[in-house]
Amino acid sequence: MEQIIVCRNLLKRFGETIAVNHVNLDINRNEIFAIIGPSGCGKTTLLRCIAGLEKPDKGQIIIDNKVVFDSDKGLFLPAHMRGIGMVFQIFAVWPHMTVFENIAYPLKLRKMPKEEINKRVKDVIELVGLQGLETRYPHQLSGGQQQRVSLARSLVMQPKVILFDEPMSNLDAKLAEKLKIDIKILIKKLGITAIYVTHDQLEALTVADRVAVMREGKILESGPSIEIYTKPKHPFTAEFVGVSNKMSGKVINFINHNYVEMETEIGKLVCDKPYDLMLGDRVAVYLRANKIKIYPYQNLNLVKQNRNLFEGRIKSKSFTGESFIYIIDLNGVELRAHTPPEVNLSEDIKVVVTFEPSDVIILKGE
Amino acid sequence: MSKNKLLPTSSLLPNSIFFLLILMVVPPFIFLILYSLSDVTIGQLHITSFTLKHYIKLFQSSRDVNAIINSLLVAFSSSLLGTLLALFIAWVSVKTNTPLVREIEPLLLVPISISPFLYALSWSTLLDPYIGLLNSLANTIIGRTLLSIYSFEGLILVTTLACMPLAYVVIKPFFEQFDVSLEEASIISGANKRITVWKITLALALPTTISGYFLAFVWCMEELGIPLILATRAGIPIATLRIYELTQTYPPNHNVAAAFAIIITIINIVVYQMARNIIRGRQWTTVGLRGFRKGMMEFGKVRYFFLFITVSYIVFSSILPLIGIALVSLSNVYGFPTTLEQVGLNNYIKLLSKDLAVTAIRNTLIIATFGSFILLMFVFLISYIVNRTEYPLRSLIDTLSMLPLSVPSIVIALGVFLYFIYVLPTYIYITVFSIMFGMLIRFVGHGVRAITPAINQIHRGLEDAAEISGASQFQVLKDVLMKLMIPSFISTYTFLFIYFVRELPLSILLATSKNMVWTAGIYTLWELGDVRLVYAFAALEILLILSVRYIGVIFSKKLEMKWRR
Repeated sequence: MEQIIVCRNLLKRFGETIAVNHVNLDINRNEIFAIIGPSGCGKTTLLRCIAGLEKPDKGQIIIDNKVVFDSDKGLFLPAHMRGIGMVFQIFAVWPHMTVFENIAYPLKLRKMPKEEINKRVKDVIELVGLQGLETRYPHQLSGGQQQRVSLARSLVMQPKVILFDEPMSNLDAKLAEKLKIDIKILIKKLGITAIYVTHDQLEALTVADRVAVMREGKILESGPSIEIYTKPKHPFTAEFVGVSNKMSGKVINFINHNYVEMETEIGKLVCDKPYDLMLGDRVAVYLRANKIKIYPYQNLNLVKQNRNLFEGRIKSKSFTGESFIYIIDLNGVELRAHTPPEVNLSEDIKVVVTFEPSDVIILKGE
Repeated sequence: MSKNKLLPTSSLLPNSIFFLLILMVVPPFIFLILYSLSDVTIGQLHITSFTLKHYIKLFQSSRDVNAIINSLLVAFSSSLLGTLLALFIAWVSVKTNTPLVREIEPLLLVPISISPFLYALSWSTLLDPYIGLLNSLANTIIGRTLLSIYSFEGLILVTTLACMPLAYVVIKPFFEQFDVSLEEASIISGANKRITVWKITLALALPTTISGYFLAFVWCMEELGIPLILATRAGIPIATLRIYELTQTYPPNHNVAAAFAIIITIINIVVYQMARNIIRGRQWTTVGLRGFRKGMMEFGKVRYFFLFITVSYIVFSSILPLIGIALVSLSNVYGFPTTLEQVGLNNYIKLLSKDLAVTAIRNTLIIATFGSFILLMFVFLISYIVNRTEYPLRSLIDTLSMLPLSVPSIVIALGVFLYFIYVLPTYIYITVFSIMFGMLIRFVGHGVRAITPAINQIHRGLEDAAEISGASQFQVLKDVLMKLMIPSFISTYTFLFIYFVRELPLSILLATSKNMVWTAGIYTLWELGDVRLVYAFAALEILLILSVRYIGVIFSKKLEMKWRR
């Protein structure tokens, strides 16, 4: 696959703090690439370096086969010459311009003929669904509409790359839900490349083809969204993405090449054998809350043949609307389980807890 | 958070601003120090040795020592009275349910909107021992006059009324940010309203009140316009006045004047530091919590008493002086008109036939119109460099620009005067340019302080978005930042325009018959004793100031409404 954005050894400091710490990044053409991480991890700074709004201290950035930054050669192409689109957390819609003027501004800067501007603006307004609002001022629009203006403004110059900096964090959940799906469909339809920065891992998984996890200025790992979720390679990813129960384990037995048996706080459990484990290895064991199934104790017979079976007691139960959150006491260890709303059990009853060996995530080191 | 880079090629602009600023604000201080420590006189710059004799001479002169003591006395008592008044009225207008107060409250600011000099002149129409309106009325009713404004009491009265708004604008925002839950908690705990007001509301307002007091104190110490009108006639020595007087004696004694300037600067710095030490650590936060609620306490009949006091105060401090000066200026006889036939425009017609007045008005309008525009652009660039770029000397630029603002106005005026005598050739010195340049130096800090919050209020993301869209740094400035700042430009421009019009210390030091300006012209006529023309001239200036202010507010409000950021 062809790479459209390449960052090599990128370093950016603010005084004493290192915001971006020797980052390497390869982004493929026409993919949506998300960067996630807790606030202050450097993801926005990394994005701003790619945009040209921030000048890195060291490294190299290549966009569409063109070197836009190279510290060794002293080369820095400022943002206004990079020709990429960007959607901001604060919308950054200019309050003194109408919707039309906002969207037309990048084209006016490029001194396009008037008819061409009108046509392009009209097209992009249709694309993002803002018909009829052309003459409105931003304060007459809702947050969602303002963000659509910002999106239209980024798309109107038909960039090959568009950057999203936490575009949903100032919108209410309902609006964000719809907008992020719209954005994904739109980006795919236009066949452009997007980098999407967010602190919200669910948002990233929804929108992106591939995800990178960032912490303290470094990219810990990156991969297809599904793999980041199901097969994290870094303990931080396992904890940051999705809700997990963390345990420490020790390898005590191998079962016919495919499975490994582990001693943990909740007892012995069996899981798929990953790569190169040896007897006696100490590992961190993660169990996704939504991979845990619970049954009333009297239904034990139904699941008797399962490999991982534990007895527990429901300590508490909360309903979120989409699922139940159970806290289960398992030999003194608390386990968190998210179940579909159909699994409606009473508090303080005895239950059977089970999960598939393939759903257990094992990472080296404790 | 992060700031935009200025590319190396574009550091030409910040570098020029930096050097220009150094040329503007540093020499006045160097000249002041040189003059105070040597025998340098106007016309030569030959220093043989340094001496402290000017300082010693100053402390040996009882008139000069008295001037300092008097200044301290006036500042101490006026700012105390002014702050107490401000505390009471701010509390009434924000924290009580007194009707009407919020509507008439803007009138409280009249004394600082027009200048202290014009305010003192207005008061002289009320309490002049011969023609003063209040004195004449008292004479008719009780058979004797109340008080001559040209006295120590008169000085304290006018200074108190003039400094009250300064403390008021500090205290009022505190009450506005005061969470009513704090008072409700006290009431719930069993305290009655009176105890709650004393133990909670006023107790919490104490640190803010103290800082308002010190602000007013420093202001009173450096005020020249009020003593110029009131203390000169009464023969009371006042520190700022002495500095001016020493430049007007024959031969002028600029060395002692400079020493005097440095001493009152030191006094102000000491007071300022004392204030900081007293206030430090006592400023408690009453806001910042979520669910913050504004609110007031409900009062019964007593609220009409509050209203009565507030209205009386506004009438006394803001409306009466304006009426006084308007009536005197419109009187065809000496003093107040008693019949309708005595009302007319005679004074104005006579005034506008005088060369001095016409020249002064024309010069002032030129200086204020263009000077405040130049300064507006200059301070915008300064503030832009300081707040939006990573120019390495930006904090030094910030400090330099604030330097003239941090010393008493007569001090910077004297420094500029001594500086200009050396550097400006006579053919420039006697033109409007010398005064315009001087005002650029005097008000650069005022301008930066006014424009900076306006820049910081605009989110950087708006500029980033333009840059991403393909706008160069210049286009970002032109299309986004400067456009969005138009309302702030208008309000800062009108604010500077008014400052330029009413400026006193620099004007009276620099103005000659060739480059006469409005305020200096008023003072010249006052010294000549042409009272009726003085009041017409002053009334016109007040009219100009108040209308420019009003137009500016309306204009920038309108634009702000259109964009509602």
